[in-house]
Amino acid sequence: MTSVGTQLPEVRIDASVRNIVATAIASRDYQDVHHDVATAQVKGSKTIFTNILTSNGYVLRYVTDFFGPLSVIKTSKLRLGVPNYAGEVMTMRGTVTGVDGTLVTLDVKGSNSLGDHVIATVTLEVPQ
Amino acid sequence: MTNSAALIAEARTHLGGPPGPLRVGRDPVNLPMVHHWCQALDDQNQAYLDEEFAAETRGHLIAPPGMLQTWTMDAPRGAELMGSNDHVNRLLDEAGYTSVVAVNYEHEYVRELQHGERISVRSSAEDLSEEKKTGLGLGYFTTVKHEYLTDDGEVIGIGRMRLLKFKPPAAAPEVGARPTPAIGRDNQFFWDGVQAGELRIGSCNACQTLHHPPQPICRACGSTDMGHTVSTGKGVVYSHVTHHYPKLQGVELPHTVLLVELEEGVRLVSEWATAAKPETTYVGQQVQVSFTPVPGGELRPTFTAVS
Amino acid sequence: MSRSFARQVAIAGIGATEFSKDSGRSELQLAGEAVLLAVKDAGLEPADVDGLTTFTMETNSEIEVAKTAGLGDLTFFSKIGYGGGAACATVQQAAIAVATGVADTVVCYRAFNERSGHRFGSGAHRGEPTSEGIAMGWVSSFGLMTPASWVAMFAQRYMHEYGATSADFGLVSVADRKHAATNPKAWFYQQPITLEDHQNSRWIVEPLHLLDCCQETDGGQALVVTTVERARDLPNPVAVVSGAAQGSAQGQQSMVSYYRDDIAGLPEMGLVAKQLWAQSGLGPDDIQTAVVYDHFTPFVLQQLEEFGFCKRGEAKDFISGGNIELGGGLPINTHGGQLGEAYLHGMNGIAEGVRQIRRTSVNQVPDVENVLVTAGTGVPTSGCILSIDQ
Repeated sequence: MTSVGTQLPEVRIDASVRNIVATAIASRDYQDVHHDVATAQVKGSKTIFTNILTSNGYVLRYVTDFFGPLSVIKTSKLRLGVPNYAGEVMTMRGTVTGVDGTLVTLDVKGSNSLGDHVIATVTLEVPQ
Repeated sequence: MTNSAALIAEARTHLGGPPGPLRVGRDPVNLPMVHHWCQALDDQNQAYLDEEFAAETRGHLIAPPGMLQTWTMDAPRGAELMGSNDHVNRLLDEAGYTSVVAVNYEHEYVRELQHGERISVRSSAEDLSEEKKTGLGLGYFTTVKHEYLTDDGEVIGIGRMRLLKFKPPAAAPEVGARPTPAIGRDNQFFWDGVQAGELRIGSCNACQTLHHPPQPICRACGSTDMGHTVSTGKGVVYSHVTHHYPKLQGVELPHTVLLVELEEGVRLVSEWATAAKPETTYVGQQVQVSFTPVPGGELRPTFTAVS
Repeated sequence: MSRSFARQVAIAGIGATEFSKDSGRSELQLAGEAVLLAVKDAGLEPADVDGLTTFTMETNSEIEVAKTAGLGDLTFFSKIGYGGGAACATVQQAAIAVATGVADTVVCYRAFNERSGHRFGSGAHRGEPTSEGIAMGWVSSFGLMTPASWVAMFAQRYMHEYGATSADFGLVSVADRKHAATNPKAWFYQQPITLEDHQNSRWIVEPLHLLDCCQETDGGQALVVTTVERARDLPNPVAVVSGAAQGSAQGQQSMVSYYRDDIAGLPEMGLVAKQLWAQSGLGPDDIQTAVVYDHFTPFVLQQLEEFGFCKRGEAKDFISGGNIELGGGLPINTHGGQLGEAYLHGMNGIAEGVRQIRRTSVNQVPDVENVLVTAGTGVPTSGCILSIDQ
């Protein structure tokens, strides 16, 4: 049973060039910093990096993979940190911080070698 | 009032003002785009993909909630009407805060979406901070609120994106990339530490003597059992110089170099964090380490002044 | 038997090319010309030379120079490290070789196109991951890449500890340029400067102005070292080597010994001083003039302190009032130094020391008996004392 303090198993997500480009296009995000290395570098980045819609998508996938397809996401609040550059591996970790009936709140963090890429709070309905 | 201040004051008058025009998503919620998303993110949630499961549980497939903004991402916009967020952004641009980075991304998913629903969005500016000194430069935080609606006006989701609009540091001359340090067996740990956000100081595991620059044999006791400790990163400026000539690869001039004495008692050569150069540098100045990029993008342990 | 070579050997010949900003010929030709001029000055033939010593930074190997200048068979050849720190060490190694009979006639040489060719001040870059390359990385990775900047870091701390100012450093520059102004071989012949000129010159690396920094020069310089006995039979007055020493002190690094407890001194030069006074039996009061290595002005002050001409932190008072100019208590760099005459990695300063002993300097100090000459500072270094033949 889910209770406060329950820890979700760690999941590692490869930020390969393929994944960064595929997810950016799948979210209809055509910003060049998500697919063009040369342009990303001119704009001051090390290389291409994961777009925000995808970071949110990964947080929600991580949560629904654990709670199952009947769970219903209510809110997600992301604080964005270091970039998730191509070549990084993002490790997702999560801890349940609140349980109120069917409403579950948890902290989720996605970290790579540079630090925390995303620090999130997610609430969802989990049917009994 | 300076021109910049006037522009910011004008931007504030738009807060809470009317949202921009309704921007209508190009395609309704649809299975091919969901497939594309799920494949790209490796999301195998049955609620999105398994019609049989969906029919038995919710009665229909739903769209991944993370795709909410995707449905309106390339929605064509009319040029004739500007929302309050457009005004705020335009005025910040005119005041010189032309660069942008997202700091928060928040959503409230009012209900799940099913295929065939067409989603539109309207956006407005919610707030505008005072001017802040950030690691990227001087800037303002502003929040844009996105309301997502169906064709019959039902609000099905609310998104908020908090942005930092900042002044890019003065157009840097083309200085090239800073030379990369030579890394070998005896200093690998130091540069690994920089990547990990740690200022690592070589230390003898036998007698705890600290060594910087590190060395493979302890000069105090002769041990070859060398490890490292992580510095607090607090120190004082022991000496400093400001380089004017000649031009150097990967260095923006004038360039101040610091000799920092850490509170652990060792010294190292470093420099100010680019975005946090104080107006003056003096012997005895209190400093704190931070890990920031130098021209070319490589990280260095750099310092900021602390009061 | 004495283990010392002190007073057993002498510098019998000196020779140099012109000093310029563009020699128009190869570094090998400069080296060959300097060696031949020195041999001729000594009254010897090229075939008499059986030893060569130079710097590791020298691009002309001993064998190329020997072949080019038509020297004899070589029984001694060596190279010494650490840039200008090697200058007086060439005399020391030649003296050791001659005193022990390993060789009879050793030529010390240094030649380069440092202005028209590779310039040392242009910035050090990434090294290989050797211990030397890694050591350089601790400074170059942070944009501390030039000799001026390496010295400036010491200078700032020295100013902080002892209250010295940029104007104090300027006094060194003014003295050098005053001496260069009357030396026809000097690049800055007839171009003296004032302290205001120094203060108004642009920043190179704060706290160093342009006029705190030596010039960049194309040229070659050579010295002939042989026994005192033999030198007495040769044409020139004998310049006796009454001491020659090297020094590398604890915590030594090349130009960036920033990690010692105290960085406001030059302990490696203190180590040289101690040896020189012991070898020669002399002390500061016995020195009538000195050639003090001056690639950058601040280190002149620390050197005067390390040799005991004044106390720690008091060099700014010692050098004031014209005390280091001709007519003062200790005239230094009477050829104009490396700021005024030429930057030959200190080798032209040894030649000036010889001229002072021969009483042939254009800026002759009266009644010279002993001259101190020092080598590159901030690096492992060296020094020597030249004396008249008593």
